[in-house]
Amino acid sequence: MRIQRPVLGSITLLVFIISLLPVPVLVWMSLFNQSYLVVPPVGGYTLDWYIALPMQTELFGGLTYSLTLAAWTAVIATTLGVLAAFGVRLGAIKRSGLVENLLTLPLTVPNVVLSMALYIFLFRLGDMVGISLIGNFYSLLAGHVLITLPWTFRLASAGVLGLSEDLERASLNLGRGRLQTFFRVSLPLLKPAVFSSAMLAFIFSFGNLEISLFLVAPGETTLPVAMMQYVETRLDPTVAAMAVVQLALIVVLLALANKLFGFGRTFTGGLKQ
Amino acid sequence: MTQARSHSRLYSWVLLGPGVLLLTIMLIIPMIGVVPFSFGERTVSGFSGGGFSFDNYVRIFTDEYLRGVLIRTFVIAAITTLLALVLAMPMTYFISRSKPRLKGVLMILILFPLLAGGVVQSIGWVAILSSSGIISQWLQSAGMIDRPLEIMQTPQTIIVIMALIDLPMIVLAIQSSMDSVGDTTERAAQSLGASRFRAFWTVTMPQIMPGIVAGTSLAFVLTVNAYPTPVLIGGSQVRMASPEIYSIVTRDGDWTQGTALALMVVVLSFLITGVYAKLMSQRFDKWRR
Repeated sequence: MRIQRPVLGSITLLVFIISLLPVPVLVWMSLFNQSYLVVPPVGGYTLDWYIALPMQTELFGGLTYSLTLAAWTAVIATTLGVLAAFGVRLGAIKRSGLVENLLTLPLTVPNVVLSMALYIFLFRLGDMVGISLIGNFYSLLAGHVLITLPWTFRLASAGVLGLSEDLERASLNLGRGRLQTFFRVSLPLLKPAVFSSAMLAFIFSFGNLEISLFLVAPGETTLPVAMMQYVETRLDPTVAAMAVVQLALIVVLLALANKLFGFGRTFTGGLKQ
Repeated sequence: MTQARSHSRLYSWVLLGPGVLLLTIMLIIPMIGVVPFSFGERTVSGFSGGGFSFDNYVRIFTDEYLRGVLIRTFVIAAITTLLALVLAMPMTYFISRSKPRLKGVLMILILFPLLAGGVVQSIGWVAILSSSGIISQWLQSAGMIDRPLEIMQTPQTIIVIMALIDLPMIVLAIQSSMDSVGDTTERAAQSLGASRFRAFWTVTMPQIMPGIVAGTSLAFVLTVNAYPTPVLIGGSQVRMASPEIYSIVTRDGDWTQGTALALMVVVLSFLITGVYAKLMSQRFDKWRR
């Protein structure tokens, strides 16, 4: 604690305040009793925009669609991430570094490019087999699993590396099979890492715009796509209210995750590179 | 090879299989699959009219507009990354030396912008910064400016906002190495007479260098790839690569030029981060000796 903590603390606080500034502003704007942005609001405040949200078919449809998509993404990406983390730990394969690089590749390829490449690939594949493979939920799901896999893999890996092999060996020695040991010893011990992975995958899928750009079907868009289309024409309390709903959902999930399995703590070790 | 070993190799591949398969089918093959289009001729009826030429790539460097987009993207990404690093260092240091409870809360706070996503954040920033936005209106009603504020659609604003969005990535990357270094060696250096800054610079800094390189590389790539922020904050004035690729394909219907620009961006950012990591590790090895 030799370096002046108050100075560092003030810098940290200041950057936090600035980077979180959009949150209070969106909340404030969503309560304006007028459809345009004039501060301070001439018409006072109202909750009407929130009540009217379900009537906004594009935005609200986007919300329900994105929630379903994010839930499926979380389940699949977490399963794949945990399995892969165990696979790497077994360490019996050569070139595990290559596998790890492959698993983090979706982070470094531009998501718009990935979306475009997937679109072209699925379009041509569909052409060959004679059924349309694009513009449906599953192609979108594949894209979302792809971009969340690096995160679930990393979080699961951090958890798996911290796992003591002694307990698993004890279980194997006592006559349990590998499968039973996995489900009754390893997995319960990994609970915080598994739930944190799922939470992160859910939130990232829910907020990601780019990967969906080429893959959404007309009339069935994700929330970020619907919001981008909306703000192209106007910025009003309705879209602010939608953004606040999205932020509130993330806050609730985070608070829950932190209380139940110490989500913040899973990150305090940072992410191993 | 013993039998047990070949067994665990089999298990290893069974466990890795699903993830590796998904990435191969849905990422590697599609990315390789678009390469021929980037050398093809523009067509109205499909992705590519066939043929083979370097025209699409040549155009990226000869067309003033496209070249501008490419150069602007990489320059903005470099400055953004540098700014994010400068902000991240004191924050990471502070967080890393905090008590566990506070640390957990601070980590969630730092992650929040990343989790909220670029769309929501950028919409918030538009409300704050646009010419009809909150700051502009306040300044006008206070009589400090007589025309609407024009700070949106400038590179400076994009750089600041994207640095704030990149911040979590760099903090996450540095934090693990900062934690493992601890402050004992730094204190030892100080008790031997080094100033606080010198102790940090010569003792802690070399040890967290791998984290810094990894974090800044990722932040750089993510800024190059950014989409919602350049669209909403930069608009038509500060065009960057990702929105441009999307426009070329959807607005102009030119898949060949779009894929060429996309591949150029991917290759360049891999090259730049690769050379950067190599140079840094050389310097850093010398530093340690």
